[in-house]
Amino acid sequence: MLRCAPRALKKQPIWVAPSRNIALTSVNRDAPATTGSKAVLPGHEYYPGKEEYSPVIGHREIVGHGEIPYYTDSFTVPCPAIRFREVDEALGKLREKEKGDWKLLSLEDKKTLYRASFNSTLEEVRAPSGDWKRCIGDNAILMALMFLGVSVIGFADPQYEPKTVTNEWVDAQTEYLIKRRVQPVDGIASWYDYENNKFKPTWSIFTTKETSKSVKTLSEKE
Amino acid sequence: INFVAADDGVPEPEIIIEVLKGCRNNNDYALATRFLEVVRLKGGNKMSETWPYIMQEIGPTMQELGISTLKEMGYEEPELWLENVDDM
Repeated sequence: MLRCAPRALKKQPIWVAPSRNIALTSVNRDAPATTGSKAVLPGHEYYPGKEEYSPVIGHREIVGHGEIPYYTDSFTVPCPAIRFREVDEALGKLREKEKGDWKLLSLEDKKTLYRASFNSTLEEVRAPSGDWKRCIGDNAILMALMFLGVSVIGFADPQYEPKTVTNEWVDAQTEYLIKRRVQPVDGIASWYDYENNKFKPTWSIFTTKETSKSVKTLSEKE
Repeated sequence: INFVAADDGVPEPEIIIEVLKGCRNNNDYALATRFLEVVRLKGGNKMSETWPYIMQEIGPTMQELGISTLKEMGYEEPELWLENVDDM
């Protein structure tokens, strides 16, 4: 329903390797990752495992070893076995630059290198998402609708009132309770004067205009 | 690096220096920055005490290799915002 985003930060577009299929087709798990690669972009002599896993990964590099490579961003596994972005020509040139002296890399180069390997910084992994605002907001809207419905529909039509709320029912109820002498210490029987057959003056706390009329009729009956 | 990150403590400066040299040998700059982020966040609540100490110890080697600090890169605070998959 409502979407909330932190305003100060720039939103990162969600990027998925375009040539990625989810089904694994013909992956040879026993063979080592260093197979001969065909057309290699400049600066990419180490490009192992490209052919085996390419239906799953795309053209991303495999940097680690072990099981099927998979990219995750997490604090517990900070360096996954594959890089994040695929290889373009510009990245190839950057990689050649990387082989030289690192002092020659500008800040922008360093940032592009980082984003090529990783999707988000570890600090961003820790950052809060602010989703609680959306949850509370949606709940508030639904509760408001509920209160609207109850007040408009529930209180308007007497068909929706329960039958135990009408005065007739309440009078019959009090008559029954007094006859049974329930709650003689703290409750209803203690407020009724059995010798004079009327309610003691403290009973007036519980009466409104409508109920006080019915109470008078009750006491007259008894 | 994943094994170093799994340990419950901040790695010693000597270990950090060796890792950075390994990154240099493999020509991988992004890995070096990632590792430094990991080292910084290993401090946890005491990041303000451990991180300046480690920066002191590593400072010379970082200038040798040409790695810029996390503050210069702007990675001490989150840079971009990514929508969480659980919230979609």
